[in-house]
Amino acid sequence: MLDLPNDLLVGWDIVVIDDEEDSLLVAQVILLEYGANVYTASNGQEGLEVIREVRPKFAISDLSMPILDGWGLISELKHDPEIQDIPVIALTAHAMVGDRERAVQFGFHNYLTKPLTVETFIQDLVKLLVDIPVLANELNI
Amino acid sequence: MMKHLGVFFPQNTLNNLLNKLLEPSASIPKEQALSYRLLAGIILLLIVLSFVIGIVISFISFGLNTQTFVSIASFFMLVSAYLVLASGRYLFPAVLIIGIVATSPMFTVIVDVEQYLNSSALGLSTLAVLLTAILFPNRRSILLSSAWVGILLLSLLVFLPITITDLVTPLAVLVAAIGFTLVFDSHRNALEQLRRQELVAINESLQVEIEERKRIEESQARLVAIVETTSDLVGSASLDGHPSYINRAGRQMIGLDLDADISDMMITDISPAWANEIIGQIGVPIAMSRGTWTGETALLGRDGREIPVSQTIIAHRDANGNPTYLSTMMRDITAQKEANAQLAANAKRIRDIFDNLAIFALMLDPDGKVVEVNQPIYAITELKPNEVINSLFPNTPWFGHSSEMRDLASHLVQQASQGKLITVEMSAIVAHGLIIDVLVTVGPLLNDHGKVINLVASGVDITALKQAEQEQKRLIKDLQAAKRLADENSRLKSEFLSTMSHELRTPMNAIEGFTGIILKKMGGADFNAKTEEYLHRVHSNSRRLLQLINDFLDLSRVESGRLELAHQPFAPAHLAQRWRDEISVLAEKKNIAFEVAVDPDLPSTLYGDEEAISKVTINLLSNAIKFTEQGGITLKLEARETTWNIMVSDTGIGIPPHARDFIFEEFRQVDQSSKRKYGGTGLGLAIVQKYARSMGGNVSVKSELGQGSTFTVTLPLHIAE
Repeated sequence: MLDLPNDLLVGWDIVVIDDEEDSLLVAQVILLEYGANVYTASNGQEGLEVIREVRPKFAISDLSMPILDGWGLISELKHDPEIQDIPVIALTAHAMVGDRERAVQFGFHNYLTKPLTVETFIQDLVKLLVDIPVLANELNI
Repeated sequence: MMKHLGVFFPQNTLNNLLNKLLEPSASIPKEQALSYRLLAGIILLLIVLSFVIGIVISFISFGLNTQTFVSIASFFMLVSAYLVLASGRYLFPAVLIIGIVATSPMFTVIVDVEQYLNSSALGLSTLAVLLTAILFPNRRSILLSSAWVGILLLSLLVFLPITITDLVTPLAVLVAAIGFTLVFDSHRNALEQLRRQELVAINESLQVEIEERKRIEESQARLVAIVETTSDLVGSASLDGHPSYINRAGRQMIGLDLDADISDMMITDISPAWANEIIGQIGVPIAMSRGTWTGETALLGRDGREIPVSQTIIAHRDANGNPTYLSTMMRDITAQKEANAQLAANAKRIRDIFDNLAIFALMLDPDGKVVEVNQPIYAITELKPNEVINSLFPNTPWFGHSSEMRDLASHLVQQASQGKLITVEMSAIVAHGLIIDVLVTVGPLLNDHGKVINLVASGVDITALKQAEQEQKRLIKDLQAAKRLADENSRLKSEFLSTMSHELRTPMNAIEGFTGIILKKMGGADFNAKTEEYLHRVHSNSRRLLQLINDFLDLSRVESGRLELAHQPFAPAHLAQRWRDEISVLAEKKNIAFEVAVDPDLPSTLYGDEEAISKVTINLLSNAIKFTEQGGITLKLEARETTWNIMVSDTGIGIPPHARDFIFEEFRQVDQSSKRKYGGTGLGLAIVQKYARSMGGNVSVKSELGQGSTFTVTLPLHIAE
C-alpha cells in the first residue's frame, strides 16, 4: 500500500459529479483530505457547467444520473473543444462489466469502481493519474 | 404308203376302208367288239365251209389228183397259219410246218412242170403272205403283201400256160386267207383291246382300293398313335359297361399294365363311387340322348388316390341311329384344380390383407367408379356393399355432407386417372352422422404399357391426430404464454434483485465510506477508544454486508444471463502481478507464503474478460488464504493446447470427500462451524464456477483433508480477437 502524503493534491481543482449525495460527500471528504479543491455537481448538465467554469485538472463522474447521465456528459465534453482535453474518470457501479470497457471507448480516461473506500479510493485514483503525463508531473509524490 | 395307194384308188374310199378294217380296235365299245367276234366266227365258218365244199367238189369231180391235193394242202396250211396267228406262240415250228407244207408240192407233183409252177406259185404266194404276217405283224403290210401276191399270180396267169381255172382255187385261197387274216386280226385285236381295257379297269379299281385301304390304314395308325401318346385317358366300352379299350395313358393313370387283359373289368372299377353316380345318372344318359357329355368326375389312381378329371362321354351309333358303344376321354385336372385353389387362396389372402389394413382402402375404375371397398370402410360407415359399389367416388355417401368434398373427390379422380398420385386432407361423414378427418391418397394402377387400369384410394383416419394437433397447438400456446410469463417473472426478479442490490448498496456505500472517513479521522472526526472499537465493528460488518450484496448481485447477474463478458486483449503476466499485489497484503497479515508462477509458454496476450477472470482468481485466492493457517499458497498460470489453467493451491485444512460435490453450490460450506469460524457468504465458489462456465471454461478441485486443496480453473485459450 502506498503511503501517500496528505498534500498530494494541494492546489488541484477537481470536479466530482454524482447524483448520490452521500457518495459525492465521501469522495469530496477524501479528496479534500489530500488538499484538493473539490467542486461538485449532481448531474451531467450541472457537471458540464461546473467543468466549463472551473476548468479542473480532471473530473470524476458517475455514469447513472438524472437529466444528463455520464454518457451524455462525456459526449458533450468531447464535442466541446474548450474542455475536451480535460480527463474525466468514470465511476462505475460494482461488477458492471460492460460499462467499464464502454466507458473507455466513449472517451473517459479510465474508471474507478464503487464503492469508494478510504483505503482504496485515493490509491486507485493515483494509479490512474500517473498514466496522464501532464498530471503525473504535478503530483506531489 | 397311203399316197402311193391313192394313185390307184380314190383316196377317201381307201381311207374309209382302211380305217374300218385296220383301226376298229382303237375305240371299240364292248358290245361292238362282241359283234365283231360273232362276225369273225361266221366268216371263219363260211370260209372253212367253202373250203370243205371246194375240196369235196374237187374230189368228186377230179378224184385224187394234184389239184385236189393242193387244195387239201392249202386248207391245212390255212389252219396252221390260223393257229400260229391265233396263238402267237410256236413261231418257229409254225414257220417250219408252213415251209414244209409250201414246198411239199415240189416233191409230190414233180412230174408235171405246169402243176409244179401252179403249186409253187400258190405255195410261194401263200408263204410270202404268211412270212409277212409273221415278220411284220402289221395288218397293213399283210394287206399290201397279199396284194402283191395277187398281182404275182395274175402275172403267172399272163405269162405261164395256165388257165384262169387253174388259178381259181389258189386265188380263192389267197382272198380267203387275206380276209380271214384281217377279220381274225381285227377280231383278235378287239378282244385283246377289250381284255386290256378290262384289265386296266380292274387294275385301276384295284389300285384305288389299295390306296384307299392304305390311306385308311395310315390315318388309323395316326389316330392310334395320337390316342396312344396323348396324356389323357381314352377308352371305349360296351353299353353294359365292359371296357374294350383303354389307351396307354389311361392304363398308367389307373395303374393297369399295358398288356393287361381288361375283358373282365367293369368301367365302374376305375372311378370312385361318387363319380360313377354322376357318370351313370347324368353323363351316360345325356351322352345317349345328345351324343356327348362333359363334366368333372374322378379316377381312382394306382395308389388309390382320387384324380380329379374332366370327362367327356361319347355315345356311338350305328347306321340306324341306335347306340352301339360308348367311348370316353378323361383329362387329369389336378394341376388345374391346384392352380385354381392357389388362385383362390391368393385372392383370399389379398382380400384378407385388404380387409385387415388399418387404413381405408378402395379400388376405383379409371372413371372413378367404386370397384372394391375394404372392411374398415364398411365398419366405420355401416354401409352395405350395394350402397357404394358401382357408385362414382365423389357420389359415395361418405361425401354426402359437403359439396366441397365432392368437388375435391372429383378432382382426385381426375388427377389420378391422368397418372398422378395426390394426397389431400378430407372430411367424411360416417355412421351416426359423425364426421371424421381423413388423409386421402389417390393414385393410378398402371399396366405394363403404362396405361391406367385402376385407381387406388387409401385413407387414414386422422381425426384423433388432428385433435391431438389442436391440443398440442393449444398446449404450445399455453406453454409459450407460461414461458413468457416465466421469462417476464425472471426478468422482473433479476431486475428486482439488481435494483434491490443497487438500492441496498447505495446506503451501504455511504456507511462504508463514512465509517472509513471517521476511522481515518478525516474531515475533523474525533472519538474515544471505545467509540473506535465499536466503529470498527460497524465498519467490518458493513463490509461483510456489502460483500454479501455484491456476491448476490454477481450471482443473480450470471443466472439471469445479464452478465456481459468482454473480449479484450490482456496480459496474463500483468494480471498475475495485480493479483499478487492485492493478495500478498493479506498473506503477509496471516504470515503465510504466497508464490506466483507464470508458465513461459503462456502467450503474452490473451483475449477475454479481464475483470471476470480476476473475480474468479481473487475469489479462489481469498478462500485459500482464509483456510490456510500455515505453509503457503501458490498461484500458477499454465498453458495447455487449447486452454489455459489458473491453479490455486493451498496447504490449508482441505475439503472432506463428501463435501467436494457441493462446495460449488450457493450458501454451502463444508459445515456450519467453518462458516462461523472462517466467515464468508458461502457464495464465493458458486460465483467462481458460474463465472468460469460462462466464459466457456470450468473449475475443478483436488483436495486431501489436512493437506490442502488445489482449485484449477480451465479457460479456453483465445489468442486472437
